[in-house]
Amino acid sequence: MAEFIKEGDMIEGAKCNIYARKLLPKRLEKDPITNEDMKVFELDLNCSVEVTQELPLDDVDKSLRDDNNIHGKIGDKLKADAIRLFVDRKCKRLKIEVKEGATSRHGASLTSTDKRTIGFIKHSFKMYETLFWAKKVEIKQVK
Amino acid sequence: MMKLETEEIVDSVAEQGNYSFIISSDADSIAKDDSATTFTIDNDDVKICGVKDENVAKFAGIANMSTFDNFMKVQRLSELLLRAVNNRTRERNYFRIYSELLEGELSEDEFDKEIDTNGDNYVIPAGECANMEDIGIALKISPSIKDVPDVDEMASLFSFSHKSIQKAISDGRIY
Repeated sequence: MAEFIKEGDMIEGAKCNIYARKLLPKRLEKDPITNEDMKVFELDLNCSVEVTQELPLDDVDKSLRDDNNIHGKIGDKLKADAIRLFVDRKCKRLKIEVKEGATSRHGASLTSTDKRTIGFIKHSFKMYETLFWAKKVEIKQVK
Repeated sequence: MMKLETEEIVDSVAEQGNYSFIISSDADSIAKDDSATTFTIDNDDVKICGVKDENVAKFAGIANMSTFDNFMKVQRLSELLLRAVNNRTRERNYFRIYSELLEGELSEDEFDKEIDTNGDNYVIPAGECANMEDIGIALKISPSIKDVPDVDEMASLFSFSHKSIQKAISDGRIY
């Protein structure tokens, strides 16, 4: 049971609790661990994903997760400004509950998944500016 | 129709940039008929002039190294952009049938069956291992593409694997 806050940190669970002020469905995409079809959501503006049920794994699957530094124990939690969420394609529509005053000023969307879920903390473009070959790249987002 | 000899072209470019050129002895094989035309590219990064006919173009010029590198990367850029367009089409297709599901035009079983049988039309394919050059090209053009706010969105759009991104970050930090 730990909290992860670094860009690229990843968790995976059979069920997860999700908290975000903004939750956007994005697409259907192969997941980064086992290449299964999963729905992708973007969580934004201070969000978290917490494993509430561990995924049953055999030794091979477990070593795959260990090699890729993926956390999956109950209570493991991602906390970040922006998270990418993969949810099993068979998961029914996420029921979002809006909780007013989740922080002193803003409300938040709370939901949970009941199928395999993966979350990882996104890499900002700003981080790439620190890389040697990206120094000359002018990062300006199109509005 | 005006025709330029290679030497004239090179002189013209050299004049613009105060550079001198050494011209090889075989640098003069453009057909001198009516199909030959001259062309120029002249902006802050590149100064080129040349002559071309139906079969070949011969040119001389001066370019910033970064711009010259970009010319070399054009083919790879085209491949990546095609991949991005196809992935955006897959997203559009997915939301199209999803809206049909919400409006009751498709049942859940039909929706699932459609994705199972024609997955390539709806699912962004697994990320390919991208090298630093591919990621560099994608980084350079991403700011000009709508709705690519972060590196992971860029990776999805161009079907780069999560591992490639991680590796690029760790490799990049070495320097």
